Amino acid sequence: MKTLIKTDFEKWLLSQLTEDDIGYFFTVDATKVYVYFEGEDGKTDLAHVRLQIIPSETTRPATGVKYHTGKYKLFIYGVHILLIDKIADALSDMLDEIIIEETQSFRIETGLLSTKTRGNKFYGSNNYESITEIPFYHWENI
Amino acid sequence: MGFGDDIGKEFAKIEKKRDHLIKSATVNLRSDLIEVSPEDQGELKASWEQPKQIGKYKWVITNIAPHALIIDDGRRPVHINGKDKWVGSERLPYGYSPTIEITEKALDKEFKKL
Repeated sequence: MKTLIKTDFEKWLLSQLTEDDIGYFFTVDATKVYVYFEGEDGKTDLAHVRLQIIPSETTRPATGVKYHTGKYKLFIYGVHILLIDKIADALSDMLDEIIIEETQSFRIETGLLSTKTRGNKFYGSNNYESITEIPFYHWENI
Repeated sequence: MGFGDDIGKEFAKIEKKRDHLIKSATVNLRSDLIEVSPEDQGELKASWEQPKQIGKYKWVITNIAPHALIIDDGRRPVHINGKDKWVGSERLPYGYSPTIEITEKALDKEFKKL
């Protein structure tokens, strides 16, 4: 199930991005922010976001039907602390409460983006790191 | 004895059971967090403080090791000196969240039985 969710979300996210020689990006205040998916090597020190998908399974309390849920974890890297805050805001605009995919048999939708950790700095890295999370829900037989 | 008294007693009983459930779940969770903590020099494992109650149904379990937050944020590659370097623990790829979720789900089940 993880593969299915991942493919759907990645497919959707890619459709929102632009591509250049380095990779896929979106723009924040005229700065390109590259997006790397799980397993992809980082090619740049420029501002970027890395995506991690954490699936879990839960049960509908009323009917007992199992559905899939989880979190998209977005690791944000940028040279200024204000830039990573702006990237988080842009991601929030892009991802908050949207329907990623809907068919007759299922629907994937997101919740609200929240910041888990803000402003880590690793020795030797030019960038600050912030970690944001957004929950997703994968409803079946809606 | 009136109907109101019976209801009041019943509520008090449920509240007592609920307190007990939360308290024991918190104590067990601390043990689980210690158990799953990766060990190099043992600082992380040894840095879990006793649970503290900060509200009626609110408890806090703190780890005071300086690298606890990095481990809790999960395993991820960070671009350092032109290369991807992995930070976080291999043992906890998603940090402590999955361990906490197990306790939350178990607690939810117990609450439904009340």
